[in-house]
Amino acid sequence: MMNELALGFSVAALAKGVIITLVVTLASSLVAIVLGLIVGLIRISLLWPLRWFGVAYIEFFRGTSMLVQVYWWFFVLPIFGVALSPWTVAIFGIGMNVSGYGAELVRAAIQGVDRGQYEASIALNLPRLTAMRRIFLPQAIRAMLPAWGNLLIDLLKSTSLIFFITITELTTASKLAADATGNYLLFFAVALFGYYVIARALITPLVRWLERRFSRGFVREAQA
Amino acid sequence: MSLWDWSYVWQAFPYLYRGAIVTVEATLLGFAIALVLGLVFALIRQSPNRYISTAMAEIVEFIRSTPLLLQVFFVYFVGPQFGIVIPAWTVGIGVLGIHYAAYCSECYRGGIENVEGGQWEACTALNLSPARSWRAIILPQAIPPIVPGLGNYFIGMFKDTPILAAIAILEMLQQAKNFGSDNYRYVEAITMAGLFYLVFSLAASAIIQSVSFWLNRRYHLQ
Amino acid sequence: MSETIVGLENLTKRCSVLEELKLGIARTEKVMSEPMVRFENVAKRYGTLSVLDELNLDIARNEKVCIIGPSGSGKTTVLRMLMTLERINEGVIWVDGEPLTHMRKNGQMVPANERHLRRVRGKIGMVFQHFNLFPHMTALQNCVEAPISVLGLSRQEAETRAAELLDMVGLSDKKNHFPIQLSGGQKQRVAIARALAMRPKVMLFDEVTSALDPELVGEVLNVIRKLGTEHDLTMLMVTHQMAFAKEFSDRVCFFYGGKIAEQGPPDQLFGDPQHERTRQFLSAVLEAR
Repeated sequence: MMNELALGFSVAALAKGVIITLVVTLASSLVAIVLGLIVGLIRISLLWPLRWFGVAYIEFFRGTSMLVQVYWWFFVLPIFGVALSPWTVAIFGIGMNVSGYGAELVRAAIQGVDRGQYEASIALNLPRLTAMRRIFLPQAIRAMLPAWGNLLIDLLKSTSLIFFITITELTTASKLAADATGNYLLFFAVALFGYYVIARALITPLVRWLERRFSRGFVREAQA
Repeated sequence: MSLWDWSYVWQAFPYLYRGAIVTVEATLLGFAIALVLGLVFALIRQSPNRYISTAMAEIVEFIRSTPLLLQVFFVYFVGPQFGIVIPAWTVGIGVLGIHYAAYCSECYRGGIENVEGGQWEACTALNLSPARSWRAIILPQAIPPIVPGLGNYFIGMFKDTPILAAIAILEMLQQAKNFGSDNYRYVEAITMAGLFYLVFSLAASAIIQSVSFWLNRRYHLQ
Repeated sequence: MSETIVGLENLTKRCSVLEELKLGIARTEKVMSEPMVRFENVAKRYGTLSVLDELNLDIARNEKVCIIGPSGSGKTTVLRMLMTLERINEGVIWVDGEPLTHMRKNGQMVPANERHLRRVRGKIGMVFQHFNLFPHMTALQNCVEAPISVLGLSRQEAETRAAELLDMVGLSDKKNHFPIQLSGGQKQRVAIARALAMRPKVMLFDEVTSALDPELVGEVLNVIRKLGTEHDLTMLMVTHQMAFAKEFSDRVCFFYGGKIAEQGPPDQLFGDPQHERTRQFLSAVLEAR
């Protein structure tokens, strides 16, 4: 009886954990995508101060461990009188860390666009910003989507780190439930499977769908 | 209260030093496991038996899409439930190694698949045994180009070691945090830990680049 | 008395009008006689490697010039410099009477800034060896993108003109196809239409048939031939199609080792080459066929 009750509570806690993981994943993905795009463009700017800022940003967020950054936001900032809620730390800590990797993807994809496209844009006298917006970015986005898919799965996995800053997301919830019931195998297996499902049944298909949408003229028509 | 106090820097140093040794040890041992196991995974994936190669692919996929922290918990806590107690240190290094072996195996696979098909045909034509073909012909061509990719996972693993703190392994970041909570003073210790990660990452990536350059030259691939 | 004054005034006025007219005519004549493109002592180096030295070349209005020569002779570099894809190290390039690579500032010639380049570059169009079509846009979208954003045409106007141009290159039925759905020859014809949509005065063709299967070369050359006869265009073309160069061009330049080794009317250059290198090159090319 007692055990069943505990099990019931634990399952509810696990479900709540899944939802928190999903929310944090979504929110920090948005932060990572927006900042990654901006910093990636800054990184290839023609103005060297901007370019150097981009380099420093990318090296900082990729070079120091994500957990160090999270701790910094969480333990160090309060000393300067800036106390952020665990949620803010989670979303921006993870999002900004991943944006460093994302910016590098954006840079590589834009610089990877065929040189001929760049030359054609000059020959047609397109202004630099128009060429970026209409010619390079659409091709770069398509090229970098698969890598973003992997990056977002990494991000999903990183959300388990907020275990360390006391938000009860899926990993924490499963740990608490397992501790409470003593059935570690069951709850950890369920949680592992939960992440697998989110990654492969949610993120991967979403990115595939986006790839198809952005592949106009590249793939779909090629098969037709 | 000052923003940065050098006296705390000196006090935190012994803590960080102890932690840094654990961190570096865990990374080196874990990566050794990842390199060997990753190659084993990749070779199993090349198996002509379709069931074996598909099963291997699925396992790799599963390991890659679930969090390291949860995998560490799984191995560390599920064992005792059935009377098997594994020391935290073994679990930590083992899981770190297996997790990154899954990534490395994808890297190896890319390298192997990039070797021209003609090389295999030449091996057959010269009547080389499969083992000899792999060792003497295919792998020397497959591995040098993927050194940068493997190196990135090495750095990635280094930055993932703080996760081991969850099973009470006192690596560097945990030491920094402990120092912080003992002294109610986090700035110096955590910033220094971050700096150490940054320096280590930059140095490691420079070393990897030169190793990659040297290997490519050694095997005349460039 | 006053009538005389008025008469005199009228006369002077008429005289000045006449003067102005004369001046205008002279100016027009000057413009007409002035070359469309002028390379003046142009040099291009990559580090210590000299690709072109001391190039002097005038191309008249509506002249069709073909450039031939072995690979590495600097012939493609000539077009790329004119399209501002390559910076020049020395000299000045003039287009339509004004400097392209430089601009006048306080009576001195200084290297052109982006704004000046953009203005003068608008007179030049280019077709590339590997087409360089925008893969994510249909044939029609490829041809309207720049007219809308650079020339400021309305979408409707741009589309009408693009459709006419695609019709001219014989692709009116392919305008909603993406580049990947087109053959090499069709892609290159779209690229020609795209360049023409910018209303250039000078058209550059950089080995435009080199990447094509042999059976597709003809359709592209036919379009270029048609352009030459039906439009007032100065055309500058790097090509390996000797027969076409002979039939189409007003003048052929043979490049060797970063210099114009020999130039002249096609009949003379192909029929009676003066330079030893020209003879070697032509016999090697003709033998290969």
